[in-house]
Amino acid sequence: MATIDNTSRSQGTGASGSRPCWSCNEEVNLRSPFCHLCGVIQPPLPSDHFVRLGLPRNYDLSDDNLERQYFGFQRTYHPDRFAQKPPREQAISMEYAANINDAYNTLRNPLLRAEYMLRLQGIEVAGGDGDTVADPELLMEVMELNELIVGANTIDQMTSLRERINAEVAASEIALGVVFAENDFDRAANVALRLRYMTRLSEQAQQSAGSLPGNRKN
Amino acid sequence: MSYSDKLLDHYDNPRNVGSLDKADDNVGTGLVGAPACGDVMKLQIRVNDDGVIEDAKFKTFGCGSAIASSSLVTEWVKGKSVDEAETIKNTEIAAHLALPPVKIHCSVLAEDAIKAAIADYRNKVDRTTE
Repeated sequence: MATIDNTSRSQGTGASGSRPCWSCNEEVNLRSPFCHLCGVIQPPLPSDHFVRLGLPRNYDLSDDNLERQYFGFQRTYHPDRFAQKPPREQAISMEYAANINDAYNTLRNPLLRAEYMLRLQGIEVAGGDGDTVADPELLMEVMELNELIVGANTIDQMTSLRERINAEVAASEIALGVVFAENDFDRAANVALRLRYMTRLSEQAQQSAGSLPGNRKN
Repeated sequence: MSYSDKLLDHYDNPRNVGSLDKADDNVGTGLVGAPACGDVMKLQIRVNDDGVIEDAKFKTFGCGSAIASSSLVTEWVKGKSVDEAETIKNTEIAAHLALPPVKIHCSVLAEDAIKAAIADYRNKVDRTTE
């Protein structure tokens, strides 16, 4: 338990400075989610998903690390631990728990993680609601893959097509790791767009595979 | 969410599905995508020597509203001059099909597609007359 508290104390908010504890009025370090004097939980400050989970802001992140951080913070803020506390503390802990869930669900998904990192830079991946893109090369490729999905009528054809699309997904994820590491956000936005289309194609291929006669789930 | 009869009609019986020869100098091709929903739309026009669109084809991978919007646009532009076709607005498409607000972007896609097809056609004309 001591380890978890240490983690949360050092990485809870990422801000510097202090604020008065809402319960005992003691000045509390902004980085600490708990008052060092009375131990009461402090309201969450504006933050980002990486800080919320105590992770560096890198695109490449290991699943193990993400899971470990997530479950660690979940234990710290789990509403069950606040069940006997006053309503305000329960409400605050629930806010933390919701933020952490949101952070985990965003960061564990390679596409959402990329789009989130771009949003932190003020870049909205083209095609937010209503936007259209005219990147002929990408769109030709997407059109062609869509046609192949519609045209595939044996399990073998569909399996090799799905392998091809999933390889594109994997390649885009690797490329994102590289361009984010170089802080090349323009290229990251392009690759994220590609990943968005490829992810969508992968879902469509999976759906179509399920409706082939004699299909097997894989 | 209930869809209009016109929308369902275009969705169930899409008009002008197919492709025209992209390499033909009289054919303009517009290819646009809406990544928010993963839609991709190809719209092609063939223009005769009088500047009138004599044929239009589309291929759309996307939701029913995107398919209906592109089907409707191909129907509308046939027999129109290129200049007339260029004035088609997404709001007219959306109104005709009674698209629900969350599907307005499908009509935007169709407007962008016809504009892109016209731009491609004009590029070809400019190139051949230079």
